[in-house]
Amino acid sequence: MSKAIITDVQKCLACRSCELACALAHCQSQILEESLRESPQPQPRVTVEACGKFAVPIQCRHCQDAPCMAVCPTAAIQRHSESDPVLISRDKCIGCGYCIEACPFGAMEVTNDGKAVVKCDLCIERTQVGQPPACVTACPTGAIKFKDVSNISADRRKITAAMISESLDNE
Amino acid sequence: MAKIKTIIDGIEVEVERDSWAIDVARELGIDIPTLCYHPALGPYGACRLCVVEVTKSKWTWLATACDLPIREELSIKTNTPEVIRSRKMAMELIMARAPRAESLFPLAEKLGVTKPRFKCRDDIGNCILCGLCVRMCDQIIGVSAINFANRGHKRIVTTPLHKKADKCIGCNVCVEVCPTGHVKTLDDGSFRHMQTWDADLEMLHCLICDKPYIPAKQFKVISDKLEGIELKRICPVCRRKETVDNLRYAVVEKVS
Repeated sequence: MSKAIITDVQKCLACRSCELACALAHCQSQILEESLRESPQPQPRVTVEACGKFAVPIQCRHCQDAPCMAVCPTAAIQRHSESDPVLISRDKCIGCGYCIEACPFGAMEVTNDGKAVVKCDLCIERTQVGQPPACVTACPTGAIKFKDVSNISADRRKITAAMISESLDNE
Repeated sequence: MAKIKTIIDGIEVEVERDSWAIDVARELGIDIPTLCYHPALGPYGACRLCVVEVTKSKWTWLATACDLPIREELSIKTNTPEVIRSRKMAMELIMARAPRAESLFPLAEKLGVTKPRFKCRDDIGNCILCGLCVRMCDQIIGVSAINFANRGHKRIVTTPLHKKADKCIGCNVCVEVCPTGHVKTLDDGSFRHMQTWDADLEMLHCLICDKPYIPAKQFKVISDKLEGIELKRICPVCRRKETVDNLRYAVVEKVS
């Protein structure tokens, strides 16, 4: 996949701004005040999960060999190419919940009306016009980033090099 | 594939041979009411609400759009008086069969039906025989726990020999696709009761929080389908927590 949502877990405050932004980006009106009166109620595709003092947003990882895609009986879960996100077709989804059971991260949820399943779509409508996903824009500490996957290891190499040079300087 | 020219409500489009008329119309943003159509299934044509007026050279007739393949140049109209009359009649018959199905009221009103002229039935619940549950169970889930029985006005959806549905896996798809809310289910602690099919399914309990979360039979079907991947017997909520816990171990405890 070319770009992915990366979380710097040490920066997450568990403020849940990403959840709000996600629900808002996927509702009909896309206006906060009006979205409250909508039916079905807006629903986030990302959940901030806490474990002790540690918290991190959990959303779809868009697995290369996605179990949800393999298990879907109506082929409603598809990806067009290797670099595209795994997407659910709302029309074809029958809400059987097979994918929820297959997802190893618990990143999928049934809609409020129980008729379909929703999960992170990497804000496909926003990314197509060059904007980052809603949760990335909303994160106040910059913990959630939208990065090229190939850049991740390059960045990590730079951090490692900096650590080595720092330890050499200290000696 | 050869492209075929078609005109729908005055809009000229080129479509692939054998596309269904309803898919083409909906892609153009033309609203066609349906109750028995689902994109995940093949064409069926039970509810008769999707009728459209089709013209080929000199001939004009009414046809259901969901099972109308486009194989030659057709002119389709979705809003003529004939179409509206036919849809209204179909809706009246459906409303006479399921007069208490509240989820149908908005559609009925849109098609101009307030009270059907026919004698209303009250002995068969809200089932309108759209066949969505039967087809989903057979073609998509592959279980076929339910099917039609009897003929004519006695036709109903039921389990084999009207006995307990022992093949039912409790996936709840029939409940979710039912347009009238006729199929009912109830989760009651350790059991999921498929009330309409008279089946009681044992639920599996999450190994962490001990809450019942999935019928055991459905779990088995899913794990058989995912060969090579072992399913964890924990509920999705606990699975999220476990993901975070693993991350915490990787990040916090390794650093400190």
